[in-house]
Amino acid sequence: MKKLNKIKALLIKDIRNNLRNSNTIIFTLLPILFTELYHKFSFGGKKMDSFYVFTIGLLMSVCTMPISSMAISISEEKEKNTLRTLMLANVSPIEFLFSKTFIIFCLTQFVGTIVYLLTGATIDYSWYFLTSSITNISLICLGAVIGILSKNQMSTSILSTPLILILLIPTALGNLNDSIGMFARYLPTNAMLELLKKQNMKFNCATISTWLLISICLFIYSYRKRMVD
Amino acid sequence: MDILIRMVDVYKFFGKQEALSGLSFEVDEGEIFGFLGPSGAGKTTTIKLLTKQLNADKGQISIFGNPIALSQNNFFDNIGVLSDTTGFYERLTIQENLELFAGIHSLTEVTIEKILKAVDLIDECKKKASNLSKGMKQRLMLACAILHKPKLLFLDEPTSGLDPITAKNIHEYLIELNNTGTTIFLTTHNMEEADKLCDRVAILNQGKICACDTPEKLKLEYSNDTVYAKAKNGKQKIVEKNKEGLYDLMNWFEKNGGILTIHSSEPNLEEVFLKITGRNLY
Repeated sequence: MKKLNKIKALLIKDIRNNLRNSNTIIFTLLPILFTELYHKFSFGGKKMDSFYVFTIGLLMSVCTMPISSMAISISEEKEKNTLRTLMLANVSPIEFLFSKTFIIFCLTQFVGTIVYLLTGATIDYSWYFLTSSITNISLICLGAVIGILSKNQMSTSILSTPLILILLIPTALGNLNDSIGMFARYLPTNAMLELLKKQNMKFNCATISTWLLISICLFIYSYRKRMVD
Repeated sequence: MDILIRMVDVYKFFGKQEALSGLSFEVDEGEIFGFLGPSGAGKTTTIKLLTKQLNADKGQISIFGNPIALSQNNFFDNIGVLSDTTGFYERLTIQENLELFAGIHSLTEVTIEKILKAVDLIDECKKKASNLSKGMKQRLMLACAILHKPKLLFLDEPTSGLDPITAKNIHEYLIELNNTGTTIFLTTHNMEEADKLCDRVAILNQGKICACDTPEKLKLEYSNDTVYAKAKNGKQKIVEKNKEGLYDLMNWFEKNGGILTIHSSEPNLEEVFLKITGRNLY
């Protein structure tokens, strides 16, 4: 019961803190805003393909929120000494990270669902939810690793920005260049989009599972080496 | 009376630098124990060792009768910490910050209200923590540290940088808290604060305890046993604090028009510190 109360208190704290954090608000609104804009755009009287707009919005939310928001959220708690205060109040690192992971996961899935509804993409929602969830979890783990390794909020961007660009740009531009396309094949974001289209199922399932496994291992390693604080 | 904290021959190194050199002391249940010393003497390191934020390189540390290394998961349920490594959530209000810690310790709303009243923040409870003054922030952190009524409270420079009125309010609350059974381990370089609050004080210098006793005994021990007197005609005299000196003084007053002032010359804790260590506090 005491453990449940503790987790409930941490979840409420993280919800309140995220809803008042301009970083999180921007990361939440940007994919929705861009999706709406692209959805309204028309080229020579022709509207953009709704699935393409959906993938852009989804890519933005899956790349930015789990990595940046998670990393900033952990490093901010280190920087402001709130993490140490929680540890001194008998909160375990696992409880602390669970609450953060849960909130970021829900926010990312919520944004993805809004994007899905806005574009009216013609794919099964449960399939979308399953595929994006697995990618989301592996990227949240990578965000947590960055948060654990960074001393403060400023230093998170040194690690998170290149990672976001690596995950986002080759996936978005893979069709324009063969080499980029070849590289993108091994990214979880590209695998997620191809899985949504149910293409190369075996290869993409293997790619996304490998990323999930690697990110969980990296998370465990960095957590054991540095703990959270 | 039980011993709540016991440190025996504790050493702590940061690289080649020795922060604590064979530190040994005990803190009894129910007392306010002052840990005095200048910046860099090892006060914060000691608190970090006692709250499991650091590990000792050598020596034994026990809290609540158990070795700290073997302490149970509920170790932090019985202690409260206010130090420079504690913080609060700036985006949350005072009330929301306290709700978080009340939730962590499974406490009720009533407890929050009581604490808010005690630290005089009840009227500001809806204020965002980032908008608070330094004194209010310190009181909020104190409230978070004592919300669960810890058996043992660690305070690292609790009134540093605060105005005298806020400091006085915090002192009064600490005495009240101590009267309800909380043992307080206080580090400070404010000797006046230590003199006012502490049942016993330990003077720390370069990682070692140089003296440990009640403030009164320490002051008497390092007193130079003289009495300063001033007669009504403005003349001054210093005599030894003994029978002969007293007779001498009475005769001297008779000759000089009577007593204006008499002062014994016990040093204050700051002077005691200087005498013991030869170092200034700041």
